[in-house]
Amino acid sequence: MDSNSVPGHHTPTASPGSYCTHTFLSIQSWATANQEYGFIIDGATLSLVLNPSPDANSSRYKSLFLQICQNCCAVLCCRMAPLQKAQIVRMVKNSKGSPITLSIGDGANDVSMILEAHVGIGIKGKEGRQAVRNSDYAIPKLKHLKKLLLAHGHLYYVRIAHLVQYFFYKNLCFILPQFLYQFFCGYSQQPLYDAAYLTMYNICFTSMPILAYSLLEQHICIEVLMDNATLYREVAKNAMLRWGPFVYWTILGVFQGLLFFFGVRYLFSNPALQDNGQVFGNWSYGTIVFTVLVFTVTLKLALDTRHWTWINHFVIWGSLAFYVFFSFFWGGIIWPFLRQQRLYFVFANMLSSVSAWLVIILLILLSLLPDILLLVFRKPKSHAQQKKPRSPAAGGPQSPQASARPLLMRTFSDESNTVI
Amino acid sequence: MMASSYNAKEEDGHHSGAVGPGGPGAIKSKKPDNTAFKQQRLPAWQPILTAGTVLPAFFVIGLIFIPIGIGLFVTSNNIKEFEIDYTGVEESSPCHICSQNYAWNNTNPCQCSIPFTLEQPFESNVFMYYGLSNFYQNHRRYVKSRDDSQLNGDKNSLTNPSKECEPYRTNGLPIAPCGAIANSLFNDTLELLYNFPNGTSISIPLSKTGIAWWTDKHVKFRNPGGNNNNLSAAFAGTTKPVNWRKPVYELDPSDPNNNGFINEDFIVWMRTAALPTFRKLYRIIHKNKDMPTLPPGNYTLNITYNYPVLSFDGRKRMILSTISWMGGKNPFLGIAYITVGSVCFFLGVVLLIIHHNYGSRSNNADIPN
Repeated sequence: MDSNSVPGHHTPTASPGSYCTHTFLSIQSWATANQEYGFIIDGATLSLVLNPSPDANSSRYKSLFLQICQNCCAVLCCRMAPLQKAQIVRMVKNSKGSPITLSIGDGANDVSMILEAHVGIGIKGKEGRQAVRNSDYAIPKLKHLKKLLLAHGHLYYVRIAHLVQYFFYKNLCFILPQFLYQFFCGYSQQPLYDAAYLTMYNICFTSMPILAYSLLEQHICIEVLMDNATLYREVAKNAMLRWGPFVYWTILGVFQGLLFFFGVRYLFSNPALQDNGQVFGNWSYGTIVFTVLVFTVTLKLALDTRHWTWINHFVIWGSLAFYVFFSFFWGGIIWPFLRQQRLYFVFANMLSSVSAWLVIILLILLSLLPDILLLVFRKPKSHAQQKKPRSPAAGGPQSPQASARPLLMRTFSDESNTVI
Repeated sequence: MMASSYNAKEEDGHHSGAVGPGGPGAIKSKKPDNTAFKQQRLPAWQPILTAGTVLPAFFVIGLIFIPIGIGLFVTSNNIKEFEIDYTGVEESSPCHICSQNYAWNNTNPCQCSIPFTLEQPFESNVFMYYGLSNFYQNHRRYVKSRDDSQLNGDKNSLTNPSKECEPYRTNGLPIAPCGAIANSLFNDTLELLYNFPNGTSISIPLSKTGIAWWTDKHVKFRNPGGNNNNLSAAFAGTTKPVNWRKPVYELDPSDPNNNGFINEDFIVWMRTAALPTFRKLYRIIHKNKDMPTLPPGNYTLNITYNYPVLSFDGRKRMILSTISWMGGKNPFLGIAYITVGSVCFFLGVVLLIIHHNYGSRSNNADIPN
């Protein structure tokens, strides 16, 4: 590669501090020339840089060293003691911006480094199982790191982030109508929904679809993720759990909660909703809101699912069917030993009213409209990038354009498939 | 579009030091199973939203919703509704005196009459409702103050009502029906008279059955003692609710099918309303063969004013309404459908314009994930 290597090995007599400063300033001036730099340092030198000495300048060495490393494209530290490996990782962890660190190793001397980093990966190599035993993830060969990171890491992040946001969102939709009802029931804490619905909402009606999503979802399929390492950047810096996405989910939940409640509220300005003139009560009101709620949050998840396996179909449509079945069942008999039969025949009676059907369909559609619009209007990711064939990894003259490609794409070619 | 992602390639991994299966003392391999589920290889369908699928959907929704909305709006406009507030707050109201002289155990109930005029005839079945305002039937303590097993005719609950009914649970003897909902039963009597031009009046027949839910009347509410016609014996050992004038087995002595717990006025009242301003079905005026059910002209509403509402600043009213397939008069649903349909149609047009201008520029027509 055409980057310059700055060796860090020197005779112990020279002052490490002045050398570091000189190097750093040189790199800063070279950086503007769009050069890339590598840095090589060995363990003995590193001990002088990192460990405090009686010299008054010693505390600066560490920060200088860190800045040099951060400006280099690659840093090679050789002949290091295990403790020094951990020290390097700790130094990067504590640097500005608190980056998430990952370390990978296969020997017993890598154990402290693996333990220190946020994510430690051990390779089941020829040097024994120590690294594997202390790691968060173990892989058989170094080449598997690519899939672990680019495919599984990416997918897990997207799934977990979506799970967290979805849980808050669906509970916001659930509770907001109840809260708003207090303004209409004399602030007496009268629940809008029946007790059975309150109990079963989170576990029985809305948990299985998001569970299947967080196990199986591939918003971009694994092959494409492996071929395009730059896609990994999309989840950098906790992108899906920042303020932006959080505010979006919250506003969506509030909007839908308001819509559910007030949509049915204006329908109930004349509660005679059946064609025989009979009147609906408060449990019918709550059941209509709840039906719209369950269908909306489940269909929202259906809109978000980009990878439909048979399991997704089963849990999504199954949850909705289960809700309907349970409502008929719960309201279908007079339960013995219970002093209250609040929901007896309420659900079935609600379904016999054309107005109730119409309002349910209208509210579901209106609630999902923002999401559908977002799906349609979102800026296209450049598909062209994904379809270009991969450039050759090594060898041959490289244009400055190619050398600006991220490091990942150059490292994980099929040629480098062993550690040793 | 179907895009099945089935990957048959297997990642190889080493069994470090693992002995082959079947050998004595074989070390169990920790390698995950090579099933499609565990290796994230399940066959899947990836939806690809193209302009071709989304655009027609918007237009279709718009084209379906707008006629529905128009139908709803026109139907609601054709429903005739007439409302009279008979609380008697103003001094000029005929019921003003009744509203001021209230004592709940009056032996001489106060009567008042309100004349009104219908401009248009009411066709088909006409439904008479009574409406209350500022009456919180949805208050938590009120809603739970009932005993459904007692109302279902359970013998044990009859003489041992639920604790939820407190303080309307016992009054010396156990109260049947217990609870605050039953205690506050609406007991005004409304009568409708049609005044002929020559001065005579006829009373319009009001049907008091068919006003409660069928399942309520025949399943949920049952008199104790089965089909025993002697209701006062069935209710022996209980007393009437505190604020009632008559016990429950005298609600309608003329009709045994409408007496006791299965009295339809009582059942209608027990179905607690959702909002503080509500209406409940009171009577039905069945349609006549030849003439309109309520021809235009002068009418008189005779009220036996028993129910006090001024203490909590409530209002009472009588509503006459026809009913359609969508229920009572409510323009909200029609307007909502027309609005949403128009918005969808408009969005479809906007999308069409955007796609036409900008969509053809990009290489693919994909609207991606």
